[in-house]
Amino acid sequence: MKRRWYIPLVALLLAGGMMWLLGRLTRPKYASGPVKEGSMMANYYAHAQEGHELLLIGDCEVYESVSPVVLFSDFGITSYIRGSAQQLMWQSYYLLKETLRYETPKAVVLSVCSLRYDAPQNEAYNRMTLDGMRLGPEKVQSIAASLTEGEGALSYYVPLLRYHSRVFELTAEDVRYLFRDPELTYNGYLMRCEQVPYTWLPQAPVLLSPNFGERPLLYLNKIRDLCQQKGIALILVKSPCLYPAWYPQWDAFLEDYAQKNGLSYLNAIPYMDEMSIDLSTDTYDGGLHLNVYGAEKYTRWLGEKLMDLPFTDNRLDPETAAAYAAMTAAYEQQKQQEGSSHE
Amino acid sequence: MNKKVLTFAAIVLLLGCRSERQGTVYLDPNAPAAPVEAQTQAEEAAPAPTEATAAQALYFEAKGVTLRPGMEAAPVLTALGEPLGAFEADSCAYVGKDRFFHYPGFELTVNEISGVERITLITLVDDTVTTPEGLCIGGREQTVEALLGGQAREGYYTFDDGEVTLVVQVKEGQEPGAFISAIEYRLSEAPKA
Repeated sequence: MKRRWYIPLVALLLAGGMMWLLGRLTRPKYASGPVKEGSMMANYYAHAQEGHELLLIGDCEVYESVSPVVLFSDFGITSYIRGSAQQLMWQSYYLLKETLRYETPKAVVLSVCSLRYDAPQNEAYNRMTLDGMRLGPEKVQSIAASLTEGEGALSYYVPLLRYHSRVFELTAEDVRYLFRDPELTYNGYLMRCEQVPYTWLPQAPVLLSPNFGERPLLYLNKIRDLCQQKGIALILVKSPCLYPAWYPQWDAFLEDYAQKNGLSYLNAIPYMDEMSIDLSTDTYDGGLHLNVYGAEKYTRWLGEKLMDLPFTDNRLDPETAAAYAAMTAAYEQQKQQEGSSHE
Repeated sequence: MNKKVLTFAAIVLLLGCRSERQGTVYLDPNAPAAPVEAQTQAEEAAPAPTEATAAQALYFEAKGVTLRPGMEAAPVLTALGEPLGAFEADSCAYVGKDRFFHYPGFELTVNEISGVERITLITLVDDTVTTPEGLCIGGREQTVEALLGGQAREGYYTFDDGEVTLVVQVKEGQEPGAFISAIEYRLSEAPKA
C-alpha cells in the first residue's frame, strides 16, 4: 500500500487552523461590560497608516486623560494613544518600538505613572496589553518581559490554551467580533462620562525607598534612546490624578532626569486649578481618574505646553479635517448620550 | 484517509489545550486582586539595615479592638463600627480593588489576599490616637528612641516583629528637633530566598 506521507502534515495544519479559529472565538472581546480596555491595543493597526504627529504611550493616565479629538480641534495636532490598563514601562517601550515600524511621530508623550512598578503585576493587565499586539519581535520580547509567576508564554501565541474554558460561556458578541475587534475609542481615548465627585482619599503611605526600580528606569532609558535615534521629542507626563500618590521625591527625580537628558517633564498635579479641574464634576470615580470633562480640560492645558514643538496645523488639510470631523461627531454624540444618562 | 486526518487533528488539539495551566480565565472585573506582594514599590521596600526588631508583637488598638496588618478584615470592621468614611479604589480596568476605611484618628487599608479580605495597612492620621507604646503624630523624635529604641535613617524608623512592620517617619519642623510626621503599620516584607 502506498504510504500517504502527507496525512500528518495535513492533520497538523488542520489542527492549527482549528486552534486559531477557536482561539479567536474564545478570546474575550471586551466589547460590552465595564472592562473595555482589552480591545484597545488591536484597534491601532487600522489607523497605523494615517500618520500621527503625536503618539501617546502609557496607562490610564493617557488613555482616559487625553483626548485626541480636542488636540485636533483646538491645536490641529493629529494624535493616537497606544495605551492600556496599567501598562508597564517595558510594555510601553516595546509598544513604542513596534509603533515606530509603522510611523514616525514628531513627539511622544509618555505617562510616567507606571515607573512605580518594578515587576509584572497581574496576568489580566498583561492580557489586555499583549493579546491585541500583532505577532512580531516586539510582542515576543514584551511577553518575555511581562510574564507573572506561573504564567506560560505559549498561551499568548495560542490564545485557545488560555481561553478554552470560555467555550461554554460564548455569547453573540464572541461571534460578532470573531474576525474584527470592537472599536470603542477615539484614536485610543476611552471616554468615561460618569461624574462621581471626590470626597476623601486615604493618606499616602510613607515612601521608604525614594528611588524608582532599576527595571522601569532601564526601559525609560531605552525609550529615551529610541526617541533620540529617531529624532522624536519625548515628553514625560504625570496626569492630574491624585491616587495612587505621586511623591515629591519621584517628582524631583524626574525633573532632574528630564533636565539631564534634554527632555520635558510635565507634572500636571500642581496645575489642576490653572486648568480649572473641579474634582466634584471632572472625575468618574471619586478622584482617581478623569472623566471626559476633566480629560478635555487637561488636554487643553497639555496642548498649550506642546505648542513649542513644530506641529503642523492639520485642520488646514481637508482630508484629515474630514476624518476628524467624523470622529468628532461620534465623540460628541457619545458624550451627549452618556453624559445625560449619568445626570 | 479523512478519518485519520481528523482523528490526528483532534488529538493534537486536545493535547494542546491541556498543555497550559488550567483554571478560570481572569476576566471577572471583581476577581481577586493582585496579592499584596504586588503593591507598589513605595509600599514594599523596607530596607533591612535600619530595621529594629521589636521585642513584642506590634499592634494598634482602637475602641478596644486589637488591630494588626494581616488580620481578617470582616470581624475587625464589624467590631469597629461605622467608619467616618469609606473608599473603594478601582484600579485601572477594575482589576483589583483597594478598600479604605477612615475612623477617628486612623485609616485602614484592606486588600484581598488569597481570597480573604485582610487588613494590609493601618495609618495614624492625627494626634487623637497613640500607639500602645505612646507614640503619636506630632510627638518629638526623642520619644521614638526612648520608647522603642533604634535609629532613624533617611527620615524614618522601622520596627519589625516578623509579621508586622511599624514605620515612624520624622521630619524637621519649625521648632528645633524633628517631630513624628507619620505612623503606620504594614505587613512585613516577605523574607527573600
